[in-house]
Amino acid sequence: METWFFGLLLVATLLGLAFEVLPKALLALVVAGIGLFAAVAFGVHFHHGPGGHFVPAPVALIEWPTLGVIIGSSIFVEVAARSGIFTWSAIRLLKASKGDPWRLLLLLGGLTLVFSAFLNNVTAMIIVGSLTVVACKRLEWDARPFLMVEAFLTNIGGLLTIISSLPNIILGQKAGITFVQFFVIAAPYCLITSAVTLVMARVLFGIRPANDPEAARRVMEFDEWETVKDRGFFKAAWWVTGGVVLGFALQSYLPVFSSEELGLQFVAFTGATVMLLLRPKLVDEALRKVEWSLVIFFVGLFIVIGICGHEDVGVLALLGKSVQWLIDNTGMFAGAILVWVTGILSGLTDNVPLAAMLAQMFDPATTPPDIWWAAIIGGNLGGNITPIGSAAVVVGVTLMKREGIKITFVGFMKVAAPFAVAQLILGSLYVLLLRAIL
Amino acid sequence: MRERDLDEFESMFRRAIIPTIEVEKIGLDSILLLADFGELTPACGIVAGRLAERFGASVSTCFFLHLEDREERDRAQRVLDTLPGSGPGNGGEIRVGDPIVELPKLIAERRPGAIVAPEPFHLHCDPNERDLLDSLLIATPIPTLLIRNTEVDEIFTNIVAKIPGGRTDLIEQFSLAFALCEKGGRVELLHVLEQARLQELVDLLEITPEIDTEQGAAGLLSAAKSRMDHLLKGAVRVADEAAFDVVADLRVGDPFVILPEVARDCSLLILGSQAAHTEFLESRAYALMKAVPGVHVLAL
Repeated sequence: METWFFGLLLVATLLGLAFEVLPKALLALVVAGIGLFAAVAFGVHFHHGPGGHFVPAPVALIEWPTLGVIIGSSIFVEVAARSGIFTWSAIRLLKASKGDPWRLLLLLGGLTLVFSAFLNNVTAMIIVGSLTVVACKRLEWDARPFLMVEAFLTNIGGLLTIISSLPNIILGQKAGITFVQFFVIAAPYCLITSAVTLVMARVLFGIRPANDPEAARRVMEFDEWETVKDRGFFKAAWWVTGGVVLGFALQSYLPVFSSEELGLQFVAFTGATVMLLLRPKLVDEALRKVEWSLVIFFVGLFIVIGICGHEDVGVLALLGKSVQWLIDNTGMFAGAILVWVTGILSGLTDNVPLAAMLAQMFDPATTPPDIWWAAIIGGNLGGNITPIGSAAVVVGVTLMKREGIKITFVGFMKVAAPFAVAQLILGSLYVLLLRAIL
Repeated sequence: MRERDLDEFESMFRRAIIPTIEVEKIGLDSILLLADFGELTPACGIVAGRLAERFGASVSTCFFLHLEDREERDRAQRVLDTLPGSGPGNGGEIRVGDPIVELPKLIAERRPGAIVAPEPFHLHCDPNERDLLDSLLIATPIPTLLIRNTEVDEIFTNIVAKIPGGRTDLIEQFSLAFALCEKGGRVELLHVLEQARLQELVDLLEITPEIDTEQGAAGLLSAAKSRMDHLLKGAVRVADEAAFDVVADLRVGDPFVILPEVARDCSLLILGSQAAHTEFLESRAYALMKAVPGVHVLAL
């Protein structure tokens, strides 16, 4: 009885998210409330805290480290962005292109990868996409190919580090993958897939190298220092950002920092705190800019997924059996198939609940590494299939619409399909390779 | 979707575009050198000669005598004989009559590209008339270089150009400074934004009315400041390839306080005359020139 009830609740949640019947945060709160009430009514017992102390169900079910990384990184990025380091870098690369469209695509593409690796994907797309729109207007170029490629690369760059995207944080933390392990495994795939995406863009969009003195003159009109208000803060922000990246990289190797009690969230909050100490006046503004609706969405989602994953409820155990069936019956191709399944599902609905469900279904002790990676790769790349597949793609499409570029759901998919298919094929091949070497 | 963030970043990147000012090529065919009996006339001759050499221009000279007097005429001729363009054999003109009347006639006849004259202009007439002549020189549409001390060796090395208004003024003044400044020199582009004349500048810069309604006077001031700052920086960018330094200096306040402070030690002050269509004595450029005594002035 409980299994069917909560199974239906989970399906309703996913459908509600896919069809956007309510704002995500509100939907998550509604289903979390129903789920908690029903769970207690059905007599489901939740975890107890350390030493056997009672912990209320919502507190026990929420993945606090994940929320910590999201909130800490969000504050850090917001304050760092105010220093101008991201806009400054973006304009420097624009000028380095010397007005050559192919060079510009390569440079802004590379920047998108780096930004989406260390910022959240939406912020990366907002910064690079805005510059692209302004630069293309100045150069009298069509912004569409650039925005499309940047949106694709945002999702690929979201694979580069464990903090790059929400599925990475959820699945990577659960699988016990460290920052460095994640980067070492993900980086080759990101580089290959990015290179293939850029070459495809060159062929499909007809972007060719060109030496146009007028275009070169126009890109040189951009002054990167115009986006920097305080050079002292700008320099300090570079140091702190470097420190935070190093902190994420070395966290698992440093004494005290490597303790499970602290984790990546401690690094994120340390970076945020140091940034705020540099600019105390920004405290209120930075806190307001945290996407609290996303945080509330996570809170509700963790509660629902947590209930469904509870041993007395058994919904995720049931779904886990089907994944286990897939693994048992498809042998070495299980991971490759899972890349496509998670990719298509996350293209149609939000990839966060999918990642959260998979994280609950997979047992870190017994699940092979290629299965974790299949879920991570598919969960990130699915965003490139549809114009609503990921928040970064939504930003790209919004920028196109603001520029008067008409793009329909099907029109986007027609353009995106070759890219998404190529990326998923490469993902499948990479997972097969990982199965052989890990 | 954070539409506001998109707006914010787009606007930040748009503001980062600083269109380069295009320098106009300055041509100068003829220079009219006005002479008097004062100690500044030889310095005027030196400067006119240097300008003529640089631009390949001819120099013609003129000496005004208020009344016909043989002795004065001989004395004037001796002065003219020492000046370029009117040395022995070249003549140079001596005009008799009221300079206020004669000068416009002379300009109409000769159509010079520039005038070089001492300031003050030593005429045998009353002080008010002398002021009128100075005003006339400044208000004439022809660039007028007023030599105000005898040190002219480095006149084109440290130039302050006070930009009165929008892009056209800037291009005009910067092009001149660009043509005049010597290698290794320095040009300071100064704009003094006055609260009292803000609307005038806003109109000149064609600042959109939305800013006005959204943010009021503070928004207008900030927009005008930002636009002017961009214009000045556009000129600085051109000068990156020049053989001299260009500095942009944007101030808010009273030009009669700021200009003397900035231009006190410069070798040449370029002033945009805004009095071409007003009474001479109301010329702001003239009043500003008087606020910076002893500094050579190029009045446009």
